[in-house]
Formats: sequence, structure tokens, C-alpha cells
Amino acid sequence: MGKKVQCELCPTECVLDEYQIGGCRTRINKEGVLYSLVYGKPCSVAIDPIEKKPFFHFLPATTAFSIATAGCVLGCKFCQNWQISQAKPEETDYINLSPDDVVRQAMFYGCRSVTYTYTEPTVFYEYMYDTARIAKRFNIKNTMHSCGYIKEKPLRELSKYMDAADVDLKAFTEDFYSRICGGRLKPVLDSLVVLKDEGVWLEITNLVIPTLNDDMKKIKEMCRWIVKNLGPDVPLHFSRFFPYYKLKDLPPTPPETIRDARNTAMEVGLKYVYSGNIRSEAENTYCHKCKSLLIERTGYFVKQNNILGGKCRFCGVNIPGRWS
Amino acid sequence: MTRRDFLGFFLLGGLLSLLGRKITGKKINAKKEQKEKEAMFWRKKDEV
Repeated sequence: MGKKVQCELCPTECVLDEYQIGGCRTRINKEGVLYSLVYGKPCSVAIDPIEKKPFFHFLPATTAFSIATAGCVLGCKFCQNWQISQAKPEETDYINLSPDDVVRQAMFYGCRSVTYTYTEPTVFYEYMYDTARIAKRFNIKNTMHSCGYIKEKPLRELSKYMDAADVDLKAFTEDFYSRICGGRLKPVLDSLVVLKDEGVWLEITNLVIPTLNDDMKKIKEMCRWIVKNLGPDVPLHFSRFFPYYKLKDLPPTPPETIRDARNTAMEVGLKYVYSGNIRSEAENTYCHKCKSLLIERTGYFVKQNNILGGKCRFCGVNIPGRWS
Repeated sequence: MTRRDFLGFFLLGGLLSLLGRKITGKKINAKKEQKEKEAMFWRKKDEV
């Protein structure tokens, strides 16, 4: 009898011979059993403002204890963390930090949440899962920044402990996902629906890259899909691209493109649309009803917050999000 | 230092190190490497 195994974590579904490592670089078949190579071995540990993730409707002005291990389920040519996401675990300077220690450190530093981020947290699923369970017991929230490239069963299991997710919806074409990321769009859309269905607070980030995914027709189509399938309350962040990794030959996204994308999204019906990587008033949160300034931000920092008990201080309407 | 003195120190040093208590990672509360963790979502390929 052979000792081949099949990973059932992400839609790639790697089939691994004995001692073969998965495409994510973090899972190995040892004598017919699949093991994680990165459990308790984060290569990035930092305390960040939650706005950096970005979460704009989740515990504003709090800090997130942020961790990542090496590896990724995709291979995006524009990755900003490619030094760790496209590395083998042994190629990174990781430390040993157990799930208990992560939660202990988060509490020690007064962080309201633990965020699984920087690389794709799906690759350190078991580490994230165990940490999230412990964190929840101590009333520390769990959030993740993910590409959403994960199968339904593990995502539903994780959602029991995950409070919020920011998902990169990288484009709205299968062609982009295939050529630029080495993945597929459909599983990401499915994940967004699952997260919504499980009651996880959801925000979406779309990195707008010149010539590759900046077609306003496609952006409109994407926004319509969001409104129809996830509702108009989901915050959407349009982020400005800068030349990086394998896409150094492209220019930075013109600010006008981000502005047009934002206007398009709001025309379609999304209530909370933000711009990222650009300093502008589109970093602020405005009440969707009375248009008053609710949260004023400069970069990752909150200058004023006019949301009281989850409601607009000026007109009293409920503002979607998790505010306390 | 004569050869005899050197030999004396060498043997004395060896004896003391044998008698001395070894300092292990556990005693100084150093973190052990995490044990390998079995993945949660996978299956044997031969199984249906």
C-alpha cells in the first residue's frame, strides 16, 4: 500500500509522495502522515495598529498582535512580502513561539486582538487554529488577512474562533488569478460567501494594478457581485499598487484610478469604500446616512471617532462593524 | 609550565567537568522546539 497523501486545506489539493513537501512549502508527507512544518514557528511577529491590516470597522484605534510564518498557497507576482511568503521555513529567521505564548504576549502588550497576517495564514492553519482557541478563552479577538484560498470545511471550522477577516479579492477574472497569482477566482468568491454566512466580520481589499486589473467595467462587475452576495455594508479598500517583486516594470497606480474605482463602487451601492496607500479623505469613515465625518484617520492612526455604541453620533443610525 | 603541570591541570579540569552538574536547556527554562504537528485536513490518497 502506498503512502501518498492528499492535502485538503486549500483548493490546490496537493497530492504528496513520501517526504514530498506541498506547493505552500509548509506541509510534508512523512511516512503517510501529513505534518505542518511551521507550527509555532513565526518568522514575523509585530504589534500593529488594526488599521494596518486593514480593518476600518473593527475595534478602531486598537493594536493587533500580528504573526506570520513562511509560505503561501499562491505565488502572486506583486507580493509585498515575497521574502517570507515565497520562502521555505528554514530559509527564514523564525522563532519558537507556542500558541500559549502568542496569547500571553498579546495580553502583556495590551493588544485587543491577534492577527494572522503578512503571509497567507492558511499555510499555518493548525498554529492559527490553536492560538485562536486560546485567545478566545481570554477574550482576545482573532482576525486574519487572507487571500481566501481555502476549502470550505477548514474555513467553517476556523470561523468558530475567527472574529474578523480581511480578504484580498485580487481581481475579478479567472485569467488574472491564473496568470498573476497561480490560483483560481471561484474558490475565493466561495470563501467570501462562507465567511459572511458564518458571521465573521468581513472587509475586502482590492489592489489595483495598472493594465492588469484596472478595467472599470470589471471593477463595477466585482462591486455588483459584492453587493449582491455579501451586501452593501461590507467595507471595500482599493489599494494603490507600487512596483514590487516580479512586477517592477509597471508604474504605480495613478491616484485618479483609485478615485474612479471608489466612485464606481459607491455608485453601485457599497456604503463604505476606502482608498489605501494614498493619503486622502477617502481614508475616513463617513456616515452613510447623514454623511458626517465619523472616523478621521491619518494613515493607520485614528484622530477622532464619532461612533458611539455602534451608532452615528450625529444622526443615530447604526454603523456596520464591531466597535467594542 | 612543565609538561607535568599541564597534564595535572588537564586531568583536574576533566574531573571537575565530569563531577559538575550539566546545565540543560530545561534547567534554564529555554524553549524547546515545537513538536511536529499533524495537519488537520488531509487524507490517505488510497482511501476513497
